[in-house]
Amino acid sequence: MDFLLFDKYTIYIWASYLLTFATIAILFVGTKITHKRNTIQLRIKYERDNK
Amino acid sequence: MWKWIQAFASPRNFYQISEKIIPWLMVPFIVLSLIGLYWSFVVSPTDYQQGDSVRIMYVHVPAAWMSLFIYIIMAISSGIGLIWQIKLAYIVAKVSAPIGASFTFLALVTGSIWGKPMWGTWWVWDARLTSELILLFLYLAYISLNNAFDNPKTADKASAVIVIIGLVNIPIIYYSVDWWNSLHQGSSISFTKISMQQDMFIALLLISFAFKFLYSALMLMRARNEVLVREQNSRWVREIITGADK
Repeated sequence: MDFLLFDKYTIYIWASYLLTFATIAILFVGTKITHKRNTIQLRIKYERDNK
Repeated sequence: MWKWIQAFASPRNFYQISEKIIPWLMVPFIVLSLIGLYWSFVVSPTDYQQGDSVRIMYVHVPAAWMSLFIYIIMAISSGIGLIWQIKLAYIVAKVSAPIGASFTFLALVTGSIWGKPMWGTWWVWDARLTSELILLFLYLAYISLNNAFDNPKTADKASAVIVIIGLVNIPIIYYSVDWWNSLHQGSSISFTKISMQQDMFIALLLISFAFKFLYSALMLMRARNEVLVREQNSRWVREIITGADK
């Protein structure tokens, strides 16, 4: 695992990659949650309309 | 071709076809990301001036490219929306904005993280950095304006004008290092020459293509969400949502 330690730059490099990963994860999970929420809200709306 | 575009631009067809396309975009994104990470961390050599900090470039540069690429896509979509009144074009612009803003944020922050050990400071009011920061503000202005109206049609048109006016910032970002005396390094890649080691270039390309596939997949996923909301009074949306119950 020594190759993952980059001398004095380790913290800068890993901070950049972790931030990139976190941003991608937030975008992806956020999109999934929005889809789920929209589907549930529309389902409730249609059920209310049918009553 | 035009007929195919028109058919795909119908919200119902788009919703159904895009569902099938998304996995075909996610798979290349994951594969290219994994190979790209291997190339960035293992294969790519240490730079003779920057040392290992050059590895930050493999996320910083593709993120910066994406920030420009997505803005251009938004401007083209907004133009198509204004000229041909295609609803889906406005949706593409709207859903691309948060993705573009995220990549711009990433480009700025990873650049700042690289700047600290290399330049000795997190930030300088350099032409390239400042114009990229203005791009982030343009994205945020677009998002704010789009959310400011209750009527989606008015919101689409008003924000389309903003994004088209902001297009003037794109050549400023690209040529800023040539036009002004900049602390930011010049372009290592141009249309005519590549002045970097081959493995470094491969790492950049791999991550760059991975980001393009990610953007395409996220854009389609978010556009499907937006289509659902905008077309909620259509029979086909009702059928899909109530059918999902069964």
